[in-house]
Order: sequence, then C-alpha cells, then structure tokens
Amino acid sequence: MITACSTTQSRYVPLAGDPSPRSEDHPIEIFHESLPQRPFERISRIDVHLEKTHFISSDFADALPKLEKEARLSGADALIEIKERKSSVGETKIYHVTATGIRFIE
Amino acid sequence: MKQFFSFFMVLVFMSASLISGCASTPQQSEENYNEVLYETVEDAQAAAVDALTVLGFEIKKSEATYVEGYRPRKIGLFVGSGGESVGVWLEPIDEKKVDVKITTAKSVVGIVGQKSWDDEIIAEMKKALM
Repeated sequence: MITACSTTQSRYVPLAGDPSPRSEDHPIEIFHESLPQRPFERISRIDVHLEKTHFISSDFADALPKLEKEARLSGADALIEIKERKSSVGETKIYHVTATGIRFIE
Repeated sequence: MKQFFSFFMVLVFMSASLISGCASTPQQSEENYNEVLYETVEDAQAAAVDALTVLGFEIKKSEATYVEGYRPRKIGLFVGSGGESVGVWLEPIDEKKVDVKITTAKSVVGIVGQKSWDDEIIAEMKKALM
C-alpha cells in the first residue's frame, strides 16, 4: 500500500556556518527549560513532525530519536528552546516539535 | 457483462489514483487566499518553508517566489487524512512588502479527510516572521 497509518518527517536548517556532523553515537544533551552553563553557539533549527491516525497520540519520547539524529547531522551537541505543539485533523493526531541545536564552544 | 466492465473500469481508476497518490497541483487564481506582509520576499519565502514544515507538508518546490508542499496521506479507522497540496506565491511589491497568495488543492481520493490549510499557513508564516 502506498499510504500508512502514521508519518514521520524531520529536517534541520543550519543557522550558522557549516559544522561537520557528529558521529552516530555522539551523546545529545536535552535542555527542556534551562540553558547550559557552558558557552555555546546556536547552529541549527530542528523540526520533527509526527502524525498518527486511529486517535493515537505522539509525544516527546516518540520524537526524540529523530531529534537526536537531526542534531547529530547538523553537528550539534545539545538541544535547547524545545517547543512542542499538538493538534488534530479528524482522527489524525499531530505532534510537532521544534528545537535549536547548539554546539559547545571549547 | 456491461456492468462487470463498468465495475472493472472503476477499480482500475481507483487503483491508478491510489498508486499515483492522485495529488492535485495548486493553481494560482483570483480566489486564492491573499494577504500583504511587510517583509522582504526572502524572509517571506523562508517563513513559508517553515510554516509548511511545521504543518506537516513535504516541501516539493522551494523557489525564490514560490513554495509548494504536499501532506502525506494516512489511512484512518474511519477517515484518514493528508493528500492536500498547497502553493504559496510571493510577489514583491517593493523592497519590504510582499503579496502572498495561498491555495490548497484537494485530491479526489480521501477528500473527506482533507481540509484547507490557507489560514494555518499564513498564521504560521506570521509567527515565523515575529
């Protein structure tokens, strides 16, 4: 079948320079409310979009693997300024999260 | 025999529609949603791409004065969703003023679960430009 019950979309947009991607196992720190104490630079905007039908909701944990993947691809060490939004169209539940990827300054 | 042939042709059409995705192409017309934004065309274009991304559209075209997106189709228990295509046209009026036209094209298959996204797109564009 061409269609499915759920879709996942993700992307990153560079904000500054073109840092090299991080390795696949590079740890990504998540800062939900606070900012890191270490100096950092904002390097990417990351979007992850999840839609599921059958009235099934998504949350941050569902989006986290894609967030981390996009963060690594963009060369980030951590995610800050995490904004979540939920909506629905009929029985389709929509979850979108936007975050800023940062790179720590050595 | 004639009835069987008609039924067969309907099946063939529906299958072809499903396989092709049956996405309609947005067309510019006088009836499109229209609003003037006090921004450069570059900022408005970036805002249109952001807006479509946030609303779950795959970006199909991202040109200097035109952005097109498609919402992937999903099968539902009762009513699915997706299948809409949107077009955002950006016409610079002057350096800091751009005329924005938006339209949603619905496809024949799954039209019950589809909606117009024009209002949401302009709202998200404004948020992105704040």
